[in-house]
Amino acid sequence: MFTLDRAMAAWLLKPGHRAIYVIALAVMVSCSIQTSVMAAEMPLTHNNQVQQPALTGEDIIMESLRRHELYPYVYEEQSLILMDAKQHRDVRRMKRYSRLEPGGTFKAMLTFTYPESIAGAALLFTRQQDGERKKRFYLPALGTHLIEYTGGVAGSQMLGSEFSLEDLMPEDMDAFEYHRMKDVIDGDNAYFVVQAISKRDKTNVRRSYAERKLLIRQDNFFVTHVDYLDQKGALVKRQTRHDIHQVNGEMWRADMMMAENFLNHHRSILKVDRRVYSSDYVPEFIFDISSFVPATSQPAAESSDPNPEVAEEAP
Amino acid sequence: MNRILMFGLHHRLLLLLVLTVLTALAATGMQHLHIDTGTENMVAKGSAKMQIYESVVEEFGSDNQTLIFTRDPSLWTTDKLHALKALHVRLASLESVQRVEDIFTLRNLRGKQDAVSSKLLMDHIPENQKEVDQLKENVLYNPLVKGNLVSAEGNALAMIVTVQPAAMKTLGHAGVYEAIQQAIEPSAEHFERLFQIGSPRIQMEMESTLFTDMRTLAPLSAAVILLVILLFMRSTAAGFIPLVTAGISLIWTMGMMGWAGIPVNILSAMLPTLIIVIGSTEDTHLIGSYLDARRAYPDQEPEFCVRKMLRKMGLPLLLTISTTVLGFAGNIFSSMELIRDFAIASSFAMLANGLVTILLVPALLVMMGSSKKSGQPATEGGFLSRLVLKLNQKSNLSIQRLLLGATLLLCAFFLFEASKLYVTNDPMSYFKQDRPLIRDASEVNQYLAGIKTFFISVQSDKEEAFLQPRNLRKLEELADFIGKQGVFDRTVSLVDYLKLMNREFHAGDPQWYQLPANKELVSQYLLFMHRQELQRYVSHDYRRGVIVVRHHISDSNMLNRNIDELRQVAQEIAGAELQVDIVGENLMINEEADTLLHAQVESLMIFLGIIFLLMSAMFTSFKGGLIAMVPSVIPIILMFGVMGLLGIPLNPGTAMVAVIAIGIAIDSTIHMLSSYNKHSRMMGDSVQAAQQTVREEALPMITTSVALSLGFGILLASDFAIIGQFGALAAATMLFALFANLIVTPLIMSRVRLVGLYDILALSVDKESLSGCQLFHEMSDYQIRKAMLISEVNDYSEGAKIIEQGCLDRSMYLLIKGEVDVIRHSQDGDEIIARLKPGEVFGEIAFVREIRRTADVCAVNSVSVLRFDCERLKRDLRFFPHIVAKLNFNISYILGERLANTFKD
Repeated sequence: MFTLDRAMAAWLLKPGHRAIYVIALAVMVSCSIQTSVMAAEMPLTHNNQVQQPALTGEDIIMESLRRHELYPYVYEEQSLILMDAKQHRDVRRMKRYSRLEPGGTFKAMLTFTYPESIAGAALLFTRQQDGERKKRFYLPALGTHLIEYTGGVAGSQMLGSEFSLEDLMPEDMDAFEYHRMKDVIDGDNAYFVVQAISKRDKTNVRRSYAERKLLIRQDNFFVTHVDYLDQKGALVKRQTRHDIHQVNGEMWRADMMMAENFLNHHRSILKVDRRVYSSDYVPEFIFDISSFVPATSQPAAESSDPNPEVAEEAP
Repeated sequence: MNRILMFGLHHRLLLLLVLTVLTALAATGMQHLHIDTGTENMVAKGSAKMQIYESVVEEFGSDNQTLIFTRDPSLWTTDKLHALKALHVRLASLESVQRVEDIFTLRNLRGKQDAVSSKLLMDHIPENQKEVDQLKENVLYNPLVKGNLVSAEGNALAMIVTVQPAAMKTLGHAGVYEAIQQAIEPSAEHFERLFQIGSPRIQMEMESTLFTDMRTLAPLSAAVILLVILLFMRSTAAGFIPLVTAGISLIWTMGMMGWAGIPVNILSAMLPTLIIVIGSTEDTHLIGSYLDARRAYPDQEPEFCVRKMLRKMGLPLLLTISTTVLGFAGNIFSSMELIRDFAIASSFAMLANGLVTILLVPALLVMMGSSKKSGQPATEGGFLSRLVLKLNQKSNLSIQRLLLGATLLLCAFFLFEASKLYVTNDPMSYFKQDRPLIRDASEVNQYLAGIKTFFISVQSDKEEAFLQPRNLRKLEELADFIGKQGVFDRTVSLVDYLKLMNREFHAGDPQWYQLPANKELVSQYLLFMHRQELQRYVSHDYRRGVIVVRHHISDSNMLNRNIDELRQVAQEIAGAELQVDIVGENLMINEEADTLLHAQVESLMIFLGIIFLLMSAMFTSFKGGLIAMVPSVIPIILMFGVMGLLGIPLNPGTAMVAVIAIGIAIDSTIHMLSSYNKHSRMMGDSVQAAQQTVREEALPMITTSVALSLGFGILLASDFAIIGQFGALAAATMLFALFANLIVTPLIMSRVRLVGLYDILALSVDKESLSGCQLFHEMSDYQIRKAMLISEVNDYSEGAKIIEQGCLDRSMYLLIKGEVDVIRHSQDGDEIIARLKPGEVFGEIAFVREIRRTADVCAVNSVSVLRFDCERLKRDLRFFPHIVAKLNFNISYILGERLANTFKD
């Protein structure tokens, strides 16, 4: 060793050799750093292991749907807070009923309960298994009939809020192509990033955005974050989900969603005040027009508290 | 005062050093100069209306948008629609653009039985003509679009571009205009007409026109001044000295504006021309006087002649500089920032020019005027002067009466024409009518609603007031009234959206094109509208509803009249519960027109009052002040009459002509009256004095008036209509003032005798000869001079009879030079009663009371006397009772002494 050190020292003392030594050292350090970075960026599983690259974007979305969105009967009492650019607020309260039929038909109904001037107004949404959709409105002041509402721009503002109808319904996988992008780590959590682009030829629906980027937690496949981008790749809207908690088994839910529009600087917040997973709360007949006139039917177990606390009943 | 005037002469080197330093300092301020052609400075800030307007804009958005106008006979074809779409995409992708509203972004609502379709007016471009025609029908079906975004025939349409507020600050108007222009240029070949119009373009054109004016007008006016002066004065120095003083004044003015943060606006574009033109008049007077002195004293050094010049011209120069500055400063208290900034800059410029003239011109003349050949002016007066002299020489009553009568009639006629004067303050009227901007605006107005906007804000103190149909009906009534007025183009409010929705939710039945019947239905319809669609027309809490009105009216008078009517009706419709305000930037600018008129009258009255007091002080009598007003008032009447006759409106440019032009024209009046005073004292004959005055003053007056007229006339070359109008009117006013000064004033002043303050101050009283003069016992120097200058100086040769025994005469005489004998004629022969010496008084008895002279008074040798006419003394000293009292007392004393001596004898 001593001889080796002396030889090395003698080598270093020669002109030009010192520079070679420094360069070699720099290369070694650089390689170490690169390796560390690459290691850090490697996707991890919820067990902090590097993610299997096998899952595609479509797989991830499918898994997310399977775990969280396909419960057949969900009843929610919601507060919708609309904020404009000057922070002025409007509050609306609604009840949401959703049913997923065994044949694959999805039905949802939103009924307004507050303010008084719009109480009783309802939106009825149906999506058949073949993708056919129908939106119908009931306006109590207009008369005792449903009005079919067609056209519009998919993904655009609904009911005066920054939420689109798609935001409030389960993901329609037939309408989009999904591409998995590079995973990210934010804080303690790792996320899948999936790009969703509209399948125009299939749906022929014009959208207010060009693509979405969904951030999905890798540990529970829950969508926490959706960015809406325009043709130039600029961010036009962002939807985030908060107060996330495990309901049962693999199913998670968020009690608050926020949508922020970066063009008009408006924000909308949807808070779930109460959620019930029960067919008793979402009977079949609730989607019939007869239940709208003169007022929407209420399940017997309803609370009349104008300010309900979050009370969730597990399925 | 002499020290100030002689300073430049005595300290040439120091003066040049100081001027160089000051000019260099001022030049550094020029880098801080900024341009402001914004319309905000055409409105009085801080007013109640401005506050309401700002609150409305904050709540509902700005009324300033840019419109992209397209017209083509075959607009509704697939190719053209593709071109429009490409244009829309390019505009929307601009970073400076916040939003584009057009047929590609607006939603259409169509209803049929139990179904409503809401989709973009044009979410895709049809590929066959049948679909295109259907599309056109859909577009024109929407009442919010037809006539608003698309013309009634469908051959013209607009894209309304809202610019990012931040982009206006970073890029400026020109930058935003250029960005939009680059986006629309590729599409120009596809359409018959394609252009942008709006605030960025208007501001950009104002700025570019301003620069063009500053580049071209100043050199033109300099060339004109140089030519005129060389032609009349025939002196190279006379031609270049005014340009030197103007150049220095201009640098000082621009430097001051830079340091003080006073922006360059469209009015200040004419500053260089004004400085050159107006500043040259004082230089011309000085140089003219210098050249006179050179001719009178050809063997003397230039310095001697300069001193003569300063003694003669000093005080008049100071007075004329003051009146000119006052003329410009008369607008400093205007509520309009545009006029106020110009007034500050221009009055500073005139002051600076005056200072530089007083200090530098004497020094320059000494340095440049050493040549014996110092200029030979054109023959005395030329044709014009000879004509004027002829008119004055034929001083018979009929000609004079004819001239004065004709002048009065002319003034009466023009006063009548002046009653037709109208006021306008619309920024579009600042441009000439043949300008592309104006033509484009007219084209937009022809096919679509006008580009000008104002708001009718209706406010309640209750929340959700405008969810109530009864309040919405009031908005509807207002809109209907506006439709009946027939002067405004379009109104849009929440009412229109609700009526459209009500119709379509009832399957498109036209009978349902009415307001929903109850608040619930209104609220439920509004579920289909987003806040950003509503925020232009109703506040977030529905307390305040707004009607957006579009129009194309450029006549402030017409606009203000209709707005006044609308205000009255609006409040009647709204009732006591609701507060109505009608606001808009364009509205406030036009309403300033009324302020303009009042301010013009006010500043003119104040200025004329100041001139009256100044002239009265100068001539120590109100009579002098009134006479000095005549050549000021006549041009004003003629000027306003011409405006009324030719339909030239009163605007920020023409509003200033009167005070500025009079401030300049009064200079000639001052020179004329001073000269007349001097001659009337020496000649003793007012008519001859008037003629001599005209003979002396005609040439400089004509020279300066012609130079000023031509100089102001250069402003006609401006691309701004208001600058051209200012120039034309100012030029005409100079000529009117020349007419008044040369024709009317001599006729009036030949009938009066004025004593100038200057004369009083300048009169050198020989104290020795008057020491012990009883007539002036215990009178101050001023009082003695005043009394003396009321008199006439008469000279008599040896043996001449001054007073004749037996004649009736009310004059008293004071012997100044020589000796006289008092000789009484009687049957016993002639008796020399007394021999009087200088300082003694004679003829005082007849002065006191009218009696026949009791003796002759004859000159022993060459004699000079002061003759005091009783009536004239009483008249002219009416407002000087102290002087009259002392004179009377002293006359009494003299009489008493004579009486005592008689008894003693």
